[in-house]
Formats: sequence, structure tokens, C-alpha cells
Amino acid sequence: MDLQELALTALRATIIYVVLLVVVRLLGKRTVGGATAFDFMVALILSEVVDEPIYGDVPVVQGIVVIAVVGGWHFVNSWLSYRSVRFDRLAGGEPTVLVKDGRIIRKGMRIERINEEELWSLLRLQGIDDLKDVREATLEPDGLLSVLKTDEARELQRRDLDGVLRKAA
Amino acid sequence: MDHVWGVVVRATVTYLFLLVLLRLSGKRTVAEGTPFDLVVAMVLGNLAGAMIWGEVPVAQGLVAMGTVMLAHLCVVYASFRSIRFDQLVGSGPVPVLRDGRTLRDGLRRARMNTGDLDVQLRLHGRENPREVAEALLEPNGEVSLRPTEDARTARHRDLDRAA
Repeated sequence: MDLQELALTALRATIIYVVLLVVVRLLGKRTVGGATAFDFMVALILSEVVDEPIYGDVPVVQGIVVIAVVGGWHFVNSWLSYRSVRFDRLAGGEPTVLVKDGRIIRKGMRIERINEEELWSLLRLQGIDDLKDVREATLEPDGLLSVLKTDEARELQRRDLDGVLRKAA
Repeated sequence: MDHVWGVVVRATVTYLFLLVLLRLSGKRTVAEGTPFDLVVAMVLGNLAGAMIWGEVPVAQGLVAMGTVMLAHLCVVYASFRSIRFDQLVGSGPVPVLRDGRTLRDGLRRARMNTGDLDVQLRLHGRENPREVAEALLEPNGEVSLRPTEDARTARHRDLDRAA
């Protein structure tokens, strides 16, 4: 391993880094890593293909092409999902209601293959210990559970206070 | 047996090297960073893997990981110093909803459709856009939400003011 090869490694690493930076930037913040499980997969793929070009096992140009192709398809995907709700549901998945008006929706649980124990775990993490408090709990496409509480169970809002104080006055 | 010892030594060297690198880069590289910080962390892990298995010489692996981290530190430092550079590489927060009305331009830039926005509202425990004063897509990919004065959570000082 001579110094020249080490210098070339550093150069290739820098080039690949800049290409990744540009691609991820063009894809936008929601599209890599965060929004859905598939976005996370794309981030994994992008970072998985770069060691060969950096170590010189494949030409750098080939590495750049692969990053651009994967990034390009993901860009098309995210753009189509933005433009067409139907495509979005097809490619990105749709929200599944798991609890409605305090009752567990069996069909939703079956679709998402979530059992009651897992549901309770997700609800407890949101500070819910009584299904009656839940107006709607939805498993969202990004894998998080959203909980809309009933009017009685939701946090006190300022306007609620105004009503009470006006009555008291 | 020699082969095993080689892996043990290389794995240890890699582990220590990455530990030092991440320590130098600060906390943001892995947690609470942008999606790109995550990609960089995974690239480092991937470079480390090839080195541990002896597919490349240790020196080359260290140079590769060191260079990626150095390049990243330069970008992070430059975006810390210059807001313009930050907007170029990371882009600032994008408003997607203001005073209860969706912002078409912001949604297009964020490539979120109205369904995506509904999801984000529900994740904040809200359903009605009119309860929202401002929603921003933050650089880390999450949506922050500021409710209207009426609909925000009541605070202790609201009681004091009324009394």
C-alpha cells in the first residue's frame, strides 16, 4: 500500500461524498432516511454501494452512475407520490385505523399484523391507558401511531379555560 | 487461527477509530441530525465492514473513513458559519401550513401532498388545520407545529392571568 494509492483513496472518498451530498440534497429532506421504511431502504442502498468505488474495486464513474440511478428513480417515485394520491397509496402505503371511538378495529389490526399487546405498547408510549380516551388511533405510512383523543380526554386548551373563567366571572 | 486474530485486531482498531471519529464530530451525526448525517454514518459503517474483513488494507480503510468524516466536518462547519451555505446544502425549514391554510408552494417544495400533511397533523394529535398557526418541515425531515393561541395547550400562567 503506497502513499499514492492512499491519496487516491482520499480523492475517491471526497468525490463520492460530494456526489452523495448533492443527490440527497436534490431528493429533499423527507425522501431519504425519514418518511417511510422505503426511504430508509434507499438511504441504506445509497450508503451500501459506495465502499467499492472508494476502495477502488470499481471505477468511480460507475459508483457515481449507480448513485445517480438509484437517486433518480427515488426522485421519480417521490414526485409521482406527490402528484397522484393513487400512486402514493400504491407505493407508499396508506394510513390504517386501528382504534375508532374507543374500539379496536380488528380488520386494521389484521392488515398491519399488529396484536393487542403491541397496540397497547404503542398506546402506552403516548400516555394512553384507557381505550375510551381514544377517538381514533392510526398507524401512519411512516410507521408511527397517531392518536386523536376524545374531547373529554384531550389536553386542556387555552380556549377551554376561557369558557370556564367566563362562567366563573 | 492467524486469520481469526487478524479479524479481532482489525475489528478493534476499526471500533476505536470510529469511536474517536464520531466523538470528534459531535452528537449530531447520528441522533437528531439531517437525513444526510444518517447516510454519512451508514457510509462509515460500510467502509468499516470491508476493512474488518480484510478486503482492503487497514491503512486504506482508515484513510477512507477519515476522509469522509473530514469532508463531512467541513460541510457541517461551513453550514454552521454561513446561513447561505446551509440553505444550499441542507435547506432551512419549509413552511407548509400557515394560519390554518395549506401553502401550495411549500408543499410542492417539500413534495408532500395534502394526505401527507394530514398524517403529520394527526401525529401531533390534531385534525383541524384551523387549529394550526404554523407548520414547518424542519431540516431533519420532521414537521413541527405551532397551534393557534386559542388551541394551544393551556399553561399555568393562563390561570394566573385570568385570576
